[in-house]
Amino acid sequence: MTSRRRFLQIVAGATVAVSGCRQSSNNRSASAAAAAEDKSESQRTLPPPHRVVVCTNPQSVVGGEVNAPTIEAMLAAALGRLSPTGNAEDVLRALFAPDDVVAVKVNCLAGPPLSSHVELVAALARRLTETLRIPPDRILVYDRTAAELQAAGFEEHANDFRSVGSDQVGYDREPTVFGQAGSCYSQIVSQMATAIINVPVLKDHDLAGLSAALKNHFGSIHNPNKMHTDHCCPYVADVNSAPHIREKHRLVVCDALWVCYDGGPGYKPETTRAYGGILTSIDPVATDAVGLDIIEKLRREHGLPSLSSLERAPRYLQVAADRDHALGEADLSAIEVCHVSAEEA
Amino acid sequence: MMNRREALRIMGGGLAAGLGLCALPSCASAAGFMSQARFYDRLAGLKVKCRLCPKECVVGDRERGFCGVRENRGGAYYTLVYGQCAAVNVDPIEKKPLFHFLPGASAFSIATAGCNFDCKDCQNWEISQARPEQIKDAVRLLPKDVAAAARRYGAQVIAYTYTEPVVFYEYMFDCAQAGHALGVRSVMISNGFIRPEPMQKLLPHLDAVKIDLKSLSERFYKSYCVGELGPVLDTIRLVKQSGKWMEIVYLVVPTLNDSEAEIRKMCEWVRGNLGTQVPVHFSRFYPAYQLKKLPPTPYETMERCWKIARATGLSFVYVGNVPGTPHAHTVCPKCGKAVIKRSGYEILERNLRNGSCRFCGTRIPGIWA
Repeated sequence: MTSRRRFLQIVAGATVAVSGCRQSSNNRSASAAAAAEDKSESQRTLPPPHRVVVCTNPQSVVGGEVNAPTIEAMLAAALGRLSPTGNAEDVLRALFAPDDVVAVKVNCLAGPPLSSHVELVAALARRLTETLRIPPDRILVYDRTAAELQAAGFEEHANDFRSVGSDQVGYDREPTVFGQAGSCYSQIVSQMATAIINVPVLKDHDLAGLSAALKNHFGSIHNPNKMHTDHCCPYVADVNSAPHIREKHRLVVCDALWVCYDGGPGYKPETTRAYGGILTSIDPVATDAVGLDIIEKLRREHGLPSLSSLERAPRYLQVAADRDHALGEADLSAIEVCHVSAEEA
Repeated sequence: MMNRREALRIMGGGLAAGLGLCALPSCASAAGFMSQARFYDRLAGLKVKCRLCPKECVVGDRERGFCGVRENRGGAYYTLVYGQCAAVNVDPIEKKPLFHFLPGASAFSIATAGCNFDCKDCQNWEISQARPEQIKDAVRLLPKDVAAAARRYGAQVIAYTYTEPVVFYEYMFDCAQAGHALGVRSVMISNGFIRPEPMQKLLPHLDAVKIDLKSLSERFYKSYCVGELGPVLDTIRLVKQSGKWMEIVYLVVPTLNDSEAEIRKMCEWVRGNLGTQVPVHFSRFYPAYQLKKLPPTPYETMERCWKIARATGLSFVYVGNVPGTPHAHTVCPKCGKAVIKRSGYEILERNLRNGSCRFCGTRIPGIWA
């Protein structure tokens, strides 16, 4: 099992230069020093802390339908590029242990048209099983309710994972308080899981500005409705900073196969387009920063004003990166963005 | 030890069984109780703007308002808790507390999930801060069932209480009408955070209102309730103008709203806006929810609050959640004798005659029969 100490080492680890990646200009010497001291095999295969891999392939969505084999190949490529060794299995071995209970947080709020894709989650679950021998019944794909999961098709994959709603398992009996957020967490994350993979959908959010990795964990608490004032700031950062999330978070696999660039979080067909992308990282803040950049570019392409000009920029990103939260890197110039093309995937 | 939620559930379940009703199955979905909300505007892009409470949440499709019990479905706004009781009890009216309203009466007390505040010290947070689908053993009671059950249990009153009835406005409204049709009165136990229009429409169907005035500090309301003070004061004035019976409760939280200056300011506001005859209850805080690190309010503080209020000129000042307090009695402001003696929620002695002091004949304000 990955210990808290080991995970802290992961997120504090050095940035390792990889060919083909836009390298951060702001690497931290302390992290580099920590990496230099680290001699173990698993530590050498840890992903750089602020690397975000953006893997796109137009063939992943064809005629409005997702292409499962292509998505599986994209996932392998995106995980491989995340690894300093170029090997997807090394990333998984570095982040997970065979006895882990892995909770996979998907996002089904918008209904089937804009939920995390079953094909992506199933491919991820199979990789965990094949690489680490984690059995399907210890891979818990969860969201707020079983009904939402069922509607999105997650209940039909018992061979790959277990689908479970927080409404079936319940929430903690007492709230956990961090900063201004006080919530009862889903017992899936607080009691059952030893590791969490975050599989959000990349979309605009009319109140928060952005719904991606950090915002996705509003689906892990009992009272998300209390957290939407002031553009969800600092609530998004606070919810992710509670030990249940912070200490178990391992990996983000952001579903950007379809991206909603305006009018989210509900599904708006007129402002949702096939982007054909997957983002992987261990840093949820960096993932969100890169995801925000994608949404802003899509908005420009479609003649829409930027979120910042509308005063809808997700301020919680900066809070999540501050010293009190330290959840990751929000500054794009300090994030190592690696693009993986269709040919590589 | 049984917690409040379990007790509420058991009692609710018992009542439901006694009424020949059944508890909802645990898999009941919120969608099963959807009823269109009465106060909202449709906006562009399938959004809605709630017009029920001053938060006026703008809610996107498939999202919920701050209360957690109203949801936008395709540009229409729905309440998810109509007829879905998270708690059902028969309580003494003194528990609300209402001391000048049918003393000794039983109140058929109901609540649904949800609240439009997020008070860090909420005693009922397990239902008030829950979403409807998180209440596993909810009891389905339609308004006519509530009115009939109140009658069957000998309750003179239906009380909308425990959580915040503003968020189950439509249900409360219909229950009040159904109750009046059967001669059962209705009381609203509220934080007062409601817009004027829905409150004005509701008031004719209510018989009394108890409002929690949590502080006279805007900062307190924002930091500890995620609410606003101004609209609460507006509601209190509105109820006063309507002529409906009203009592005020002030929960005294150590270090947060218990300074002498704030207590005096609150009492002066009551005197200036409501007069000296409105009952004011100072309620003792017990650690709960997100404020477990604070101690219970010291007895001395409660005594000090009572003295300040009396010195300000308020005639009917009470202290609650303090066993054995002498300030639970209703005392005639003229002769100083107890016209109603209480111990906890129990009436020990009544010295009222046609709403007047039995000793000196002074009229005591309230609804006595």
